[in-house]
Amino acid sequence: MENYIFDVNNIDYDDTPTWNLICEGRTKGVFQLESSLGKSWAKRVRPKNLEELAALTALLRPGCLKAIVDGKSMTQHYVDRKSGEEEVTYIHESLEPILERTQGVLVYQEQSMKIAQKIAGFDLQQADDLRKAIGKKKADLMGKIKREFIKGAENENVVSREAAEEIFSWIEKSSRYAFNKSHAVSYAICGYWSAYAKAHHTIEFYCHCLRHAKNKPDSQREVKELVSDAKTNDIFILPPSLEALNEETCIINDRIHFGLTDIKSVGVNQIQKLKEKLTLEEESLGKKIVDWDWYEFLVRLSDKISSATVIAMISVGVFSAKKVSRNKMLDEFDTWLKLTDKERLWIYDRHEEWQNLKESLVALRPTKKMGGGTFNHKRSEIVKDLIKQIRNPACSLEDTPDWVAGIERNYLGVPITYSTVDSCDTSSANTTCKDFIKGKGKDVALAVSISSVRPYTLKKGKNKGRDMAFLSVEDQTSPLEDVAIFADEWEEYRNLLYEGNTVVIYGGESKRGKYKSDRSLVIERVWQI
Amino acid sequence: MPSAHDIIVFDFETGSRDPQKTQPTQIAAVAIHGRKLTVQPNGYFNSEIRPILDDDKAIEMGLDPVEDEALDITRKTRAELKKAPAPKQVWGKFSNFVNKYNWKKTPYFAPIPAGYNINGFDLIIADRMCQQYGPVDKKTGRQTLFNRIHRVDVMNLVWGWLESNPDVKRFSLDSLRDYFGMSKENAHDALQDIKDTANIMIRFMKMQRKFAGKVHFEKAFADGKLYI
Repeated sequence: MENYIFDVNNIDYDDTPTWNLICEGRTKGVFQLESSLGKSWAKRVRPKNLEELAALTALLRPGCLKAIVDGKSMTQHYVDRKSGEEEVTYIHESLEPILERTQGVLVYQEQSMKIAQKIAGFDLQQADDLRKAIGKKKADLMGKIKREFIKGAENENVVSREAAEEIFSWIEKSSRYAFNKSHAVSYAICGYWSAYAKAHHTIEFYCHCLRHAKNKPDSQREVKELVSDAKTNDIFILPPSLEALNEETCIINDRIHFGLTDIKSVGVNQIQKLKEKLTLEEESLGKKIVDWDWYEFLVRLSDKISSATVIAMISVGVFSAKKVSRNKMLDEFDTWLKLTDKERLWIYDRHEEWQNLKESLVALRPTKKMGGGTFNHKRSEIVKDLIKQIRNPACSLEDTPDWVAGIERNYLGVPITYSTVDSCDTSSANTTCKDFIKGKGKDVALAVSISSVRPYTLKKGKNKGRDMAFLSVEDQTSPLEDVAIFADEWEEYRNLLYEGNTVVIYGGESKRGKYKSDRSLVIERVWQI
Repeated sequence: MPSAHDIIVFDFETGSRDPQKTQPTQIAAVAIHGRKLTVQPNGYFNSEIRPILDDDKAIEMGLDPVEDEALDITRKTRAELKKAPAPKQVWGKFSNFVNKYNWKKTPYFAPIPAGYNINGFDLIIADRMCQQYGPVDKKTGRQTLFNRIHRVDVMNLVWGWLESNPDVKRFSLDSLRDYFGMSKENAHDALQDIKDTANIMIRFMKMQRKFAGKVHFEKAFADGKLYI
């Protein structure tokens, strides 16, 4: 990936896959459109060119969403007009050339400037003063400009004085939401670039997003969302590579690997130390680390770096290719640490004589007088106990999906090898989140892990005052964000619907909203798995 | 929301009755998923522990000798126990086992200890083991293996439901086995005891959760009707 060049100067701005990605709301990681709000409005606005994308970035701002006119937000007005559900009207016909590209909605401060130029004959300086007054919401300046505006309108005589007052009042109100067009266009271009990268250079896109996730305010959530989103593109993130010992997230053989520094408890100093020691040990052993077995790593390297680092690396699966369960490796590492430095050195010097830790402990156990490696009888007895515990472990050392998912979540912030659903009985499920998203909608039963629950108190209707909830769920195939459970069902199943629980949700799609994108899954029944 | 903490139901078999001085001869545990109340996959731990079988040496170390009566109850022989690993080694592995279920590796997320009469017996031994072999908080000297706030003593849990039941006269695990119609085969083997204890705990906790979901406790005393 280091040599990867993405030339934004030669980009096709009519690229169908890119616009499809935006219109379908698959915009996790896309600049300005990655929030739930961005995804949701992208699906409604369905921009097909930069002009519309710029309008979307402006319409997404809180001012527009909160500016209610005739019972609807300005954003909603724009969407309804664009989709033909609401007639495009202008406060005065002379404004049509200025506002037609934004469906008659005053979206940008620059539109106000043009209106002032056209209606009141403002020069560029006056128009800029108007923009500043709008942007900074300066009441005294607005009052002064209003007087100039009305006077100018009388002189220009494009509209009547009453119409001029109405237009100015309209501009004044737009100060709550109008956005700077130059910003909106810049945002749109950057957003398009990132969407283009996602559509055409998907692996590189996710790799970069994951690298920079740690700079986000809630980095753990960001990583989790990116990994889930990557799944929808059949991209599965792997643990750090033992071969590369990569510090940062990177691409190796077209697969994304987390970096070692992405693992909790692993620091740069430890990685440097590991790399230095590794070079010496590889030379000494005459083979690369990828060809070592677990026993060789344990004996030659594990005590050269901090135990917390080794435990973390084992836990996230850095050594998974070694065909030994992570629990077994953790157990053997624990046993290894119970030996004294001299005992470890004794094994290190002779380790090629044996195949595994148990065999080496058996050889170590006799005292030095008896030809072994222990210092005295007491140490010999301790080693004897360690051998017993390897031969007859007190608990199973197999890895289970649930445990692996849990331990990876702890160290990486997100499970990557298994979904938490993998350890559950999913036989009663008949579809996956991905299939539901693709269109399967009736009588669906999905085995899911609950990512978030957002209770909502109904404010009107026959259930006024009662609670319902919106959920985000995920399975091994994809996250599913639009899930709803209504009041009766919520009351019955709320004790099962909490973050982290794994359940089967049964229900069907709902298209109650007026947009195709308003499709959601409505839960009718829930059961624990 | 049900507990996010997992629960470790554990039990010691010991060579005598005083938890302050007794020597453990076996420890078994089962890890229970705190929310689902199901056994965690591969969630069992079971190991015998080698006590100091020389009575004089045990007394010298401030411990009770292993009593023959205790060995009869637990059906263990001195010869078998002699082959078991030492307490320090077993406790190390047990600590690793418990720590597996401390998902965030912080004391707050440490699993909740559970068992039968753990308040009066097993937790006292566990605390002794922690003091001797770790883990303990260096500042406070308190154990950090188990959750320090919550614990489930199944004897108390059952007492809460059955204390007014005239048919239940004693609250020993054996008496409850009789009352609940559970087999006594292998009773006083730590592994069997933790299985029975976990079964009782899960039944009562599920029942509590079911009822708790239907009862509205919020502002329960807002009407000012107090008992005392």
